[in-house]
Amino acid sequence: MSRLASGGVWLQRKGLKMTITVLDNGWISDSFTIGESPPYNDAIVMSPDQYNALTADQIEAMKQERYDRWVAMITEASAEIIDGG
Amino acid sequence: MADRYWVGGTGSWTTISTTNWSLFSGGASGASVPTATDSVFFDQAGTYTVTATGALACLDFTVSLGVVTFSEISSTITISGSLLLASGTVSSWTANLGIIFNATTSKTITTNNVAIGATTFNGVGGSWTLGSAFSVNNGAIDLTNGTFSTSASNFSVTCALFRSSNSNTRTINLNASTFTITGSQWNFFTSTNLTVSGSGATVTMTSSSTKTFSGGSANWGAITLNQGGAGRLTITGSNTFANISNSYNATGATSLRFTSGTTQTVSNFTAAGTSGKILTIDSSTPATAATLSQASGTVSVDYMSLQDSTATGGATWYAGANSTNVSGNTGWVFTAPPSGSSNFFLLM
Repeated sequence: MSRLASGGVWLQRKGLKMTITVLDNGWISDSFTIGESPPYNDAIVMSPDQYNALTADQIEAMKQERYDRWVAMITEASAEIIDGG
Repeated sequence: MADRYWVGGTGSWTTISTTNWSLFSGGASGASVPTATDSVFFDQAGTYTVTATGALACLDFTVSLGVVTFSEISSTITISGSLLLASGTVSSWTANLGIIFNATTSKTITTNNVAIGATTFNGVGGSWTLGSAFSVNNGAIDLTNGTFSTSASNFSVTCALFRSSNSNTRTINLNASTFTITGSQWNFFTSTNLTVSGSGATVTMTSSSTKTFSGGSANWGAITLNQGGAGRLTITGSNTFANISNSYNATGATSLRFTSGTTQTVSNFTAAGTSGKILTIDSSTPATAATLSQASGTVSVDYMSLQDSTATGGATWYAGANSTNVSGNTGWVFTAPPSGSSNFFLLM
């Protein structure tokens, strides 16, 4: 699927790539990529108990929600920020 | 060094109140307020709000259970350790609650899709590596001292401004991440003692208002700089890029402005317009050109309006049959490339 997000950033939603690793503290990191132009890279990090209590569909929905939030964030107008930068 | 556990649900984290701090998980309150050597844990079930007030400090900051809202009253939290917000445990983090990371060793930042407040990295010898995508809630990321890395997982970064204009020793490792700048600036105007590393990253500037990429004449060969919004993107300094692109050509007209007298050295240049969505390129001082340089190959763009642009470096620069030669251009060929040339701009 591909789409043109409001605000004009071209975003493509293509196959989701994922890598699951166990962190030093024993928690699970489910790292994933959605899209290509540009890609969104993120990870769901939680304890093994929490992670294992989720179904594959629930985890997929969480990833999709994160991607959608990111799209909303980067396409909404940014407030004007006064700084001395 | 000790641990402090938040207890009692909704409450205020201040510089004096012991009401919500315990020495043990779920234990009795009354423990002293955490300092820079104390790790804080929010590990109780339930939905509650923590109101940060004043200049606060801790070592590691971990939210592992519950659903917590972080609000603030004139507050900043200085974190000397790592930050871990477990997935689903923070419902919101107010944009005004800023964080200063001041470690002098290696730390990890895992926010799990929670956009936090304006963030400063300022620790000599400190290093912060992302454990998930990182977003600042419509504010700035400042790299003052130390190393900021998106990790080998190439986690995405989103903020309004990214600033690191100083002479301190600092490194930004962009890996192959996407940096989305929604506001007015990528500011590395002073790039002294700056190290840039990574390969395949993209910095996309999406604001519909004017914005600036101040590269500080650094080697940004690791990145593609992308015009991602309607607002004119001004590029200052003589920088090196992997590519300069324009994804906004799927949506509308936009523009790139280069500081007169500067040279942008690129490996590729794909910033083009499309039919009805012209890309304008000009320089900051009319009649004084800015230079684009690519060492070899063929640049093939189209639907451009070009003014005061010098194209050089060894590559052949085709502006396309549908572009306008306004004035002051050198090195551009205002035709389509001959059949068989490489690097055709592909409309998909």
